[in-house]
Amino acid sequence: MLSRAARHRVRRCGRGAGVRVGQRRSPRGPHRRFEIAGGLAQLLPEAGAADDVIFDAAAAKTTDEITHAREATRIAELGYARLVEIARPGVSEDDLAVELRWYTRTLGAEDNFLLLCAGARNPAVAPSNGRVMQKGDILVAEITPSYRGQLAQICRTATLGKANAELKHKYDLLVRAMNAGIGGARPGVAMSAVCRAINAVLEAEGYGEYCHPPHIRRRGHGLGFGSIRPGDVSLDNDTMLTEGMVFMIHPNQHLPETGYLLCGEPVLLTADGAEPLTRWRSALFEIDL
Amino acid sequence: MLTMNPTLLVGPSDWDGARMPQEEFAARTAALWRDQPSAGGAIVYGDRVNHAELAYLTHFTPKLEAALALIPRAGAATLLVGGGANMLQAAKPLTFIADPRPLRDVGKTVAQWAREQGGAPVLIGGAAMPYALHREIAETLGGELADRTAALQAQMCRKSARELTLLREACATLAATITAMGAAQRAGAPATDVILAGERAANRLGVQDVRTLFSCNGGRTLQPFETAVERALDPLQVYMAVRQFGYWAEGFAVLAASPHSCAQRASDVLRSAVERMQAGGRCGDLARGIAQAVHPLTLHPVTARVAGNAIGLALEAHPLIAAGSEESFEDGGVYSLRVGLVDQRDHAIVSVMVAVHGRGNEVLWSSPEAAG
Repeated sequence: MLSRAARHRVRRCGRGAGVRVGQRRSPRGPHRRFEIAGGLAQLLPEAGAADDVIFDAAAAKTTDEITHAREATRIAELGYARLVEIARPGVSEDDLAVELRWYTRTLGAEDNFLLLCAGARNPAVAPSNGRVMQKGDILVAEITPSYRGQLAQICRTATLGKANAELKHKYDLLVRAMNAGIGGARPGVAMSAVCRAINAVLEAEGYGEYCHPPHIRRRGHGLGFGSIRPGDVSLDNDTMLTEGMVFMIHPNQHLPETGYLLCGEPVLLTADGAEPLTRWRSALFEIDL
Repeated sequence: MLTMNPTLLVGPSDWDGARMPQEEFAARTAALWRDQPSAGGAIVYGDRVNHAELAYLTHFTPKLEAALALIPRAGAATLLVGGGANMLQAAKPLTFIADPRPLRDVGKTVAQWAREQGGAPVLIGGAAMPYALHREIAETLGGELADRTAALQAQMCRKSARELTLLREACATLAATITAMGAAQRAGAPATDVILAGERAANRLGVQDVRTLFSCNGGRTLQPFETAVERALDPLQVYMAVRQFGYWAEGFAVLAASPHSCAQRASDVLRSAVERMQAGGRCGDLARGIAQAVHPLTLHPVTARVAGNAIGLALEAHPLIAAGSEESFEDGGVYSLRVGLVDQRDHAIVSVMVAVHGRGNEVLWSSPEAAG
């Protein structure tokens, strides 16, 4: 609830024409709670959205943010190494996720937006639950540590035991799609072009239908500060890429033969193109049982 | 006490019918309908930050995207889960409600459901709802929604026997984690290693969530874990909250190698305050009594305005134990009560978790210095 003092201050600030108030409108990410937004809407009925003023200014990362993104990426990769050490049949998804979150905290990550699940065929990557992993499961994980407020993410897929030839072949397809996206990202290029570069690899293999909703929504997204800029790696995002942007390129994909697979890197856009922040690129990992 | 929450909830949240059978949830909704005789049903909102009411009625914890429960007066509830159809498989184990559905076309879904009920539904959790969603539902139902969150929160304040059992378990876990932190601190571990030791102990005991704060300046201010603090601190003021089987336990402790006079004085005041907590007694009276009891010392800034709160499925539930509060302690209520002091040299905050019963109080956990 807005206190009386707060309501008084808001009224004073809003006096006059052309009031613009920062509002957050996105289907994902933090929303203004009704108890606050409702109060503001009553006090300032003429207020309009002014998100772009803030988010455009933050589109390119500062030197510190880039340093933090590199460190968050390093933590993510160490976290993944730990994940494949401890993921075993008989361990629950929840226990694995809790252990991984704690481990990345020991490395300095104050938080970890960690999606992790396993199954013979995953419909999506989802928050963990109490399901106990079994031999033959495909384990998918989005490991997203936050280091000093800056997120970085890696998208990885591992199998509990040997992977079959079809799975390896399909994962290789995703890696090629990811590399096409990374190769296509450079200053002056629209984000939609990066998405088209990724989709082209999949379309060439007959998966054109799977490049659109309901199968996938996006091929990547911003990282940090609400992950708003440069927005999603999607066909409807014509944001022009500029140096200093940090975002995910992840052709995470549901394929009819395998279910959902994860493959993705955080990249920094430099004058020469997209530089992955990771030391080791996505590769299907077979956990030796 | 509210502090930073994770961006995504990670931790065991599956529904266990042995610990909290479906009949308990049926009893809760029955009590809600007795309290709201004209309600045609309830629309209950929860997200990963605010979901106590949703969990109370459905057991569901939204780990990532928000959820909306449509609970009729008669018949089975419907749970709408955000994130799309592909998230439903992961959501199913978290509730007893069969066949959760995607949270989409909310206006149409709510309108259809409301038409099938015998009267206008009430809204629960509306304050946390996104503005656009609130408006959509209100417009769909043709006007203002009657928000009955406060009424349900009053019901939630009185804990059932099963809830008390789970709170006792959460407090036992809290005790183990504070013990682990104390051992690490006495062994000379750096401050954030002490915190991590406590979090590790909590994780190993199966908690769903753990929140920690600590002080790098002798207890003057508290900070969350952000970066490593490489030095050992003695004394070390800590705060820990653990959530287990849905229920929170929280506590403050001063970890010290030698007696800490400020913490001991705060503990004396706290013990006396616990004895005065009685069903029917005013929360405001207790808070004012604590402020008077510490005189001529001063209350710590963290506890000066709010000396505690009800606790359970919410980490900070109403009523708050504050000087201006007109609310009373409930028979069956569980509360977190804290005393923070500033003396000439030190700062200290200690606390207890107390179940208030008509026949006397039960201390579920207390800061080591406050054990007496």
